[in-house]
Amino acid sequence: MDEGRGPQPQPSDEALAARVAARDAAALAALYDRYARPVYSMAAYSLGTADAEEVVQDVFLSLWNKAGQFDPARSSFGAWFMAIARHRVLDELRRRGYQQRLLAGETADRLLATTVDESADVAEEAWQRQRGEAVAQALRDLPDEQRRVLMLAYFAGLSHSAMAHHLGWPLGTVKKRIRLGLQKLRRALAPPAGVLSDSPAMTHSSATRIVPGPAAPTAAAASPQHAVEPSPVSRPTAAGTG
Amino acid sequence: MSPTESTQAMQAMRATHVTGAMSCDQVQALSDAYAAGALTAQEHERVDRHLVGCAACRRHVAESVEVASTLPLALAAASSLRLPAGLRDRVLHAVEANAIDRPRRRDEPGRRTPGVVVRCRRSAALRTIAALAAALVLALPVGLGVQLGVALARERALRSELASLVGQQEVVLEVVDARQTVKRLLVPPEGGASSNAPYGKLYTRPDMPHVVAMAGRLPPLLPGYAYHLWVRYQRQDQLAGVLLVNQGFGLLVFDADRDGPVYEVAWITAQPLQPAGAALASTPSGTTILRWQQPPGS
Repeated sequence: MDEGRGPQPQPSDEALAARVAARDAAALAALYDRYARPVYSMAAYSLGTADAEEVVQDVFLSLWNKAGQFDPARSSFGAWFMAIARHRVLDELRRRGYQQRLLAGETADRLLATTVDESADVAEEAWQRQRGEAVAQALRDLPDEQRRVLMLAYFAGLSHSAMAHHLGWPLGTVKKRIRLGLQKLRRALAPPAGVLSDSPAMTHSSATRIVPGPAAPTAAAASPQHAVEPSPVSRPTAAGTG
Repeated sequence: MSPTESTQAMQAMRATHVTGAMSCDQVQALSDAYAAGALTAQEHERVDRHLVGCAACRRHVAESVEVASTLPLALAAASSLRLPAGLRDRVLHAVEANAIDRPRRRDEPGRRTPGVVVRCRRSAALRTIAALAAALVLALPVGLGVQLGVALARERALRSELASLVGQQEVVLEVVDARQTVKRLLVPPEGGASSNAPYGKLYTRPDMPHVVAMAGRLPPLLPGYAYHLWVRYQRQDQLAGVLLVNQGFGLLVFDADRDGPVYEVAWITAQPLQPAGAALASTPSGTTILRWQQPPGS
C-alpha cells in the first residue's frame, strides 16, 4: 500500500453483484464473506444446522445463476439477496408444518429479545457485524408484542390472520403492531440528518444504509443516481388469487 | 382453436386472474406488512400487481423492504453460531462446478428482479397454455375409451401447465398425489352430476397447510365474473380465493395457515369481481356451481 493513500474502499455489494453476473467467482466469495452468516443463522434457527448448510449452498448457487437478474435500480443487493434466502428457508419450513414454523418464529423472538452481543469472537466482516448489532439493539428496544409479530411474520412466514389465530389477538391489533414495530425499527436505524461521512469503507451498499450511532453516514452520502425501487419479495404465490 | 380465439382465451384468463386491483392508499398501508412477510399470498399478489405499474408505491415499499431485510443480520449478530468449517470451500467448489453454465450478461434480455421474472414467465406460459390447449383439441378418435383417454390427458396437461404457471407444481403434486391426501368431491348442488356437468375436487393433507382446489368442465363466464372458492371453517365463511381458469379447467392453491385444515363446507360460486380498488368479495353471491358438505355426524 502506498504511503498516504490509506486503505482502498471496499467495493459495494452492487458492484460485486455485477461482477458475479460476469462470472467472477472471487466477487461471489466476497459476497459470501458478507452474507453467509446471516443466511446460515436464519436457516439454522428455522431448520437446524445440518439443513442450514445445504440452504447456504443453494442460495449462493442461486446467486451465481441469477446475479444477472438483480437490478440495483429496484432495490439494494442486501434486500434482493435476503429475499431469495428467506424464500428458500420458508419453502422448506412450510413443508415441515405449522408447528415447525411457529417454533422458528418464537425461537428468533426469544433470541432477539434478550441476547447481548454474543458474536464478538465470531469472525465476520466488521461492517456487517456492526450493522447487525445495531438492528439487534433496535429489536431489543421494541415492545415485546411488536417484536414478536415481526419475528413470526419474517422468520415463520405467518400471515396476519395466522398470527391473530395463534396469539389470540384481534386481527387489527396484529396489523397495527407489525406496522408500529417496523416503523420504530426504521426510525431507530435511520441516520441522524445532517451527519456526513468521510469513510466510504463504512458503506457496502449504494442503496439505503442502516448504521448505528450518532456519527453515522447519511443515506445521501453515496446514494444512487436514481431512486431505489424494491423488487417484489419473492414467495410462493397462490394459483388464482387465493 | 384459431389465433383470435386463442387470444380471447388468454385475455379471459388474464381478466380472471387480475382481480381486486388495489389503490395506492391501500398498498402503502400494507407496505410494512408486505416487507415483514405478513400478508397472505393473495394480498401479496395484489400488492405486487399494483407495484408493477406504480413507481411512487415502489419507492414507499422499498423503504420498508430495506428495513425488514436487516432482520437476518440481527439474528446473526445475536447468535454465537459459527459457519461450519469447510462450508466456504464447499460453496465455492459447487459454484465452480456450475460454472460450465453459459455466461450471463447484465444487459441480457429479460434481466429482471425475481418478482418480475415470475410475471414474465407467466406471460410466456399463458401463451404456451393457449397453444397447448389448441394442440390438445384433436380430431375425434373412434371409440369411447380413446375419447376418455384424450380428455384425461388433456386435464393432466392443463393441470400441469397451470401449476407450472404459478410456480406451485411441486406443491400441487405433493398435496394431490400423497398417500395421506384427503380428497373431497364437489358436485352440482342440485345433484346434477353427469359426464358433462362441472365437477370439483378439494385436496388437503393432514401434515401440510396447502390446499389445492381443482374444477373441470366449468362453463365460460361473462366478463367481470369469476369463479370464487368459499370454505366454512369453525362456522365462519371465508373466501379461499378466485380460481385461475383456462379452457374450463380451474385451479387454486392456497395456504390455510394450519396443517390439514378441516372444512365444514366448500363451494364454488360464479359471482362478480369487485371493482378496482375494492377488497375482494367478503360474502358469497351469484350462482353456486359446485358444493361439498361434511356429512352430518362426521
